[in-house]
Amino acid sequence: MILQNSSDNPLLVATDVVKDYPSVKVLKRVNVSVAEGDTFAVIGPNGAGKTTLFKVLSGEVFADSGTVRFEGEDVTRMPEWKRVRRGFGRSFQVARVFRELATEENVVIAIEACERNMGRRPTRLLACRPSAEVRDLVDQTLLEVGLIDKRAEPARLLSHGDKKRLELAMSLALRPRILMLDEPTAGMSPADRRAATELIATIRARHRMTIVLTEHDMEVVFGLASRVAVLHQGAMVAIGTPAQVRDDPMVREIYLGTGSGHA
Amino acid sequence: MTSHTGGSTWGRDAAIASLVLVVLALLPFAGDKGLVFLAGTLTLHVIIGLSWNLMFGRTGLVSFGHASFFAIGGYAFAWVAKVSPGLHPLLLLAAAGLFGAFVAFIVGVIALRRSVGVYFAILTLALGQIVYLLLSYIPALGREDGFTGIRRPRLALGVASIDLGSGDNYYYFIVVMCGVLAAGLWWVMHGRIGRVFKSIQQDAERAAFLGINIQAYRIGSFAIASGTTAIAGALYAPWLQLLTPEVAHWTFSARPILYTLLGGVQSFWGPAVGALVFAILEYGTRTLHGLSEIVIGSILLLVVLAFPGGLLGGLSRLVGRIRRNPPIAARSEIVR
Amino acid sequence: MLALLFTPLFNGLFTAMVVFLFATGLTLVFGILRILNFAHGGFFMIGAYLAFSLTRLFASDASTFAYLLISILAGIAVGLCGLVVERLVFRPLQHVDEAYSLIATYALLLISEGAVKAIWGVSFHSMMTPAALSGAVIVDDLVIPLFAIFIIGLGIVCYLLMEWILQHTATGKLMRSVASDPWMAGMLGINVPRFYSWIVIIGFFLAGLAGGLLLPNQTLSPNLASVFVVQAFGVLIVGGMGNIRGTFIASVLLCVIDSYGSIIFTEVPGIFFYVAMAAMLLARPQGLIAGARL
Repeated sequence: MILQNSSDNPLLVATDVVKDYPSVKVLKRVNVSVAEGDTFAVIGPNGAGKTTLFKVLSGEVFADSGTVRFEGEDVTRMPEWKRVRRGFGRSFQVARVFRELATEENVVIAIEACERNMGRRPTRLLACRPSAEVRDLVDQTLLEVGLIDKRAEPARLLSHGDKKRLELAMSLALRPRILMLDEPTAGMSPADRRAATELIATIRARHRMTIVLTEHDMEVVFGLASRVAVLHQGAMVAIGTPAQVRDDPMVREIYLGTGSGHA
Repeated sequence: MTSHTGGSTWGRDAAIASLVLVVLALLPFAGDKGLVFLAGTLTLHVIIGLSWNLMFGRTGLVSFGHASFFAIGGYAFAWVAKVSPGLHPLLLLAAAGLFGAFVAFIVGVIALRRSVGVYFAILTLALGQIVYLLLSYIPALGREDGFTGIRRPRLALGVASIDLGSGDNYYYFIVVMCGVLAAGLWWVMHGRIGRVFKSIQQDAERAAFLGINIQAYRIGSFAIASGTTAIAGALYAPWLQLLTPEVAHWTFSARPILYTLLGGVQSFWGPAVGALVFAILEYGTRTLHGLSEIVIGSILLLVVLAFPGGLLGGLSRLVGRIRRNPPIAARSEIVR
Repeated sequence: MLALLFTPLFNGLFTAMVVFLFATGLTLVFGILRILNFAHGGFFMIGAYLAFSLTRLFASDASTFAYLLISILAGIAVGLCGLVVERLVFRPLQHVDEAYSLIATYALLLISEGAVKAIWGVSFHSMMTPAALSGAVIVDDLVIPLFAIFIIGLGIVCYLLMEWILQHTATGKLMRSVASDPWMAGMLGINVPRFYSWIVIIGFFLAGLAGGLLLPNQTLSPNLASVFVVQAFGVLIVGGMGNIRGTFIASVLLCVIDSYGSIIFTEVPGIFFYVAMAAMLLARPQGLIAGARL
């Protein structure tokens, strides 16, 4: 059963996306429509194609056929860095940060990239150090995600949860229109998981962000999502509000159980 | 140097640079002409090493053909100087540098299309071979006998005109120019552009997801490093007053690799330290046939296997252990 | 007439098979271990020089049997060196940034070049073709040396043999699976490190063997390694980074184009190889046969 919510303001639309790898069809004519302000969760068992869908939407790989449109513009074959400049933000399943650099330098790079993306010329061309404005923004961002006291540490020495927060900070620094979170709470303890969920909710409220996320933990999904889509063996089998999806018999069948806890 | 928001090493590096410049300036007063020649050549080699490390240590690109740009710059300078003798030497140097950067741009467009490091490495090696072949066979460039009779020009500086051919004037010219080039490289490495390079070296895909056009920046790094090396080559031509195709050979391309790894990838001064140490070693073994390749190769191998941080990396680890700071890893371990 | 049209073809094919025979071991090591072995060139050269010395000492009668036997011996000697190299150099660098293994094998190449200069000196040497293989086949005005036919045949046989092994035998299947997923192969019980050792030894053996086989008709100098290495890397890349079929096709294409190109542009021999290489990489950066592991 597929329940579509009529999206009056679709931000990101994927139509009939097909993606094959040499011996397996991973995505079979997947359709996704994300409205502005949505928190759209994609769930499904392992191997369903969630990460591949993510990669196609964010530009890490290109679809074999079908289209992806962002704000009406066809971005199907646009490389990831161009999509970022259009307003995409992305976090990774295993937090990817610049390991050998200090936490604050990670943020500096993200913010300077943002300035560049927005076409802002640097005020003092010859300076080596980041400008005062950038340094202020860095401080603000670090405060917002709670990493201010770890600013000088090399990023690789941060705990797993902290790395995820740093990565989130870097994605936010780019002021994305749409934030794509690939399993944001993967590998976290329950306490960390709740903290991360709260952080995402706070950021979403403060920045009025559209979020697309994949997750395994149902608590996180139901806590955050406004719409949920279920992917199974590369095909979209259900879309709707969390309650609708949870009550969907086919979804239950896929998960072989009554759905509380982990997928 | 690393891990901080850039400004903190300025003072220290400026102090070291001033010290080095003072030593170099006083050297001719020691009276040994051979020593002056070695020092001038060493200064140029330091620039080659520093620029290679811009590509390797900062942007994560391994080039096995860096010597080609040294050769391109030198031969371009020599040929244009011969064909149009009146041109101002600073103009010639700039032109040599731009030509080198241009060649790097063209090669980069082909060689940096794929993100696999091996691809770029092989193509830089091929470039080295192509340049070597061209230099060995084009009659106008002197073929195997090389380009001879390169004269040291007059430097017109508005108010005064200095004959670089007299006394130690050219030596001082080299020192000053290399100082400028090194300062330029320092600025690139420690500023905004350098931070983008670092992010690409650390995790290119992540950098792409920050909106950074990684291919453009890689080509940029390649062009800057190659242009700088070309200028060094152009400075070398009137110094030795002779150029042979050997300067494009891949064994010469090994040198900046060796200097950098020996001295330490992480530090700005690494290639300089490596160049100095190697020059001393080379001087000690200069008479033995084939030994120089064995020496270069063995040291390189030893450094890669046992001391990837190089001399300065080992030093900083030692200091870190004394101060109990976490040491910065010399090379990234990737789990396959 | 025939000579004009076909001499470059045969020259090109001869060079192509020379490059291919050299590049086979390289492709094998790269395809399976993903290590670009610069030292392959150095060890090829050592194999050639060893074969040269052995021939001068024991077999100046230029018999074909001696030629083949000595080549195999050279291969074995070099293969044993490969064992040491694998243990001391490749294995420690397996999990490190690939840049460092590139530099390490490059260093090995330099050491080999220096060792050859130190042991055998810098002067040029050459060796006669074995009696049974000298002479030529003459068709009209076209002269094809027997040795060239031998090498071309050898190259084709080598290629067919490799294809057969890789596609139709259990060993080949093993090689291909370790190449595409070493972790999985390890999970399935294959002793991957020991497998790697064997591949490196075989790769070096092939380098030494090629050195011995290609010795006749060759000017032996310490520069030997450089010429072959760059061309071998070139065909490796154009072929698609690590598969035998691609290496074979690329060798033929690039060398034949170079051969004809050198006739038109005689000023700088060998430059057309690189022109063709650049053109092919511009048109198709992923190589001729992309995505195939071996």
